[in-house]
Amino acid sequence: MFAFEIQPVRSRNWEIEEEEDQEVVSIEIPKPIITFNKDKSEFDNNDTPLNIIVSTKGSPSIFVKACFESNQFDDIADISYSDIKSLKTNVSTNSVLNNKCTVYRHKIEKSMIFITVQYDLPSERCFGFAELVLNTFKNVSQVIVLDKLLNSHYLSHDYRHPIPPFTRAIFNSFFKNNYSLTPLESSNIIENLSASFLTICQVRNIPACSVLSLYESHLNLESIQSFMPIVKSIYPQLFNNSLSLKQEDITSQFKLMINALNKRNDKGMYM
Amino acid sequence: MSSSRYDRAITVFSPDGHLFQVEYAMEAVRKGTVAVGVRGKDVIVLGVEKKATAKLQDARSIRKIVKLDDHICLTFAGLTADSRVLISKALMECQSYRLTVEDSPSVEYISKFIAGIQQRYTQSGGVRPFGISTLIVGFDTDGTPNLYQTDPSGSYSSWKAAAIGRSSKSVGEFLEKNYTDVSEEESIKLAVRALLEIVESGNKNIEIAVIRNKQPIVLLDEQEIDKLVAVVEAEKEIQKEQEKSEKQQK
Repeated sequence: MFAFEIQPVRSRNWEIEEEEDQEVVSIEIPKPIITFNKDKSEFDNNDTPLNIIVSTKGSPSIFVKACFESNQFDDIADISYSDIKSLKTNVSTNSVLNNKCTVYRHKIEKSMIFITVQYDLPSERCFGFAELVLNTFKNVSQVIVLDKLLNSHYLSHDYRHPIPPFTRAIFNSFFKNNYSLTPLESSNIIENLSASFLTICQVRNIPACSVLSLYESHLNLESIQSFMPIVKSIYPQLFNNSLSLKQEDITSQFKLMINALNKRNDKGMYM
Repeated sequence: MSSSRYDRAITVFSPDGHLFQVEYAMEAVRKGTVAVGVRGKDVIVLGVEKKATAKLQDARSIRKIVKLDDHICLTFAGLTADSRVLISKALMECQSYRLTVEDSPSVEYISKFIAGIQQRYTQSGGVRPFGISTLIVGFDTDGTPNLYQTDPSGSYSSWKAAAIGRSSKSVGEFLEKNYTDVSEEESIKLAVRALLEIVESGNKNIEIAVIRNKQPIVLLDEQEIDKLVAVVEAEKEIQKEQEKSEKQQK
């Protein structure tokens, strides 16, 4: 019954069809530009192994910013595209809505680099983005991508559909799963930044892992809190240093940022 | 994803029997704030999470609990504009029923009417389904309390307790564990406890309507809600302490 696809109607004149094909103009994919706030030479000749944590737009970036941004980050660079404009935000908690990609370095754990990607990166640009990051930061020992998975996109094997908190991970062959991460089941797939970082890291023999947290169309606290035990087990030193925030402060930051994001997404249409 | 071939037109089934537009409409319902209905022996309670209004917005113009008739109340979750259209049709139908039959409509009748409209919009070209689920509550003339739920597919059913909107799954599970067919006070407290599972406590975030047989529908004021929330939270604390001491004894 579904043995063939219905093709769109085309002209019977092959000369016209050839002309139409010749008129196709290829568009160059915009390239990302990394702009350092200070001198970048220390990264050119870096010997210290670096750990990179990339967080995508939404719940992963909220997690990173709420846990560390207020007092533990040095803002070292921005990664931008010519056609993706940043948005001005007036309140510090609304920085999750600024449509920017900022690169941070931890003040105490100097080997930790955080990249919070707060714009929607189309799939064709993700590979270039990942290449830029790994070409800029030499001697990378591990890459963790914090990503999200929409509940309606998750393919479950039985009728019970999960609700947050719910995490899955996908990692390359060099990553040692000493953290009891549950692998993402097939036939679920990863896309965009997760896929590009894992692919490039596999080629370059760098351990990499993508952690996906299930989220609903209305973002809730559990989707963000589910990153906490995983990041704590992989990098406990991030939560045990002199600048670490208390759990209550982190949770209140989560709530403020979630409200800002939900309010922006809501657009006043839903009640 | 294979759904992309079958999710644009409402009138097209996918090979595995899905109507994707209807399912996407149900996702829109999950973007609305939570609403809970509890049917007691002689009372029905509707509890809703109040949406935070902007500073310059008049909070009184945003109503989630609506009176359809003297004895029937409705609440919804999902697209506000869709709810307005459906509610006006329901209001007209209640009045039309009274004029034609010279009697008050039953809760089931109006629920069936609303569900029928929602179903019609899943079977026509050029329209989309309503992005709301509703909870319709009231007492029939024989004094029976009723709670009905409708959803974008056009199905409706009677419930003892139900939740719609965001986190409705967790709230529904809470209601399943804790529902008992008891008195008015317990029914009201159950609705408040269910809401407090996911809503931050405070009278500003919750609205409660209590419907009793042959009495006007009562919207609890802020002081009463505050008292209820305080009582429920005190009971929660006591329960927590009891569980702690039981664990320590073991």
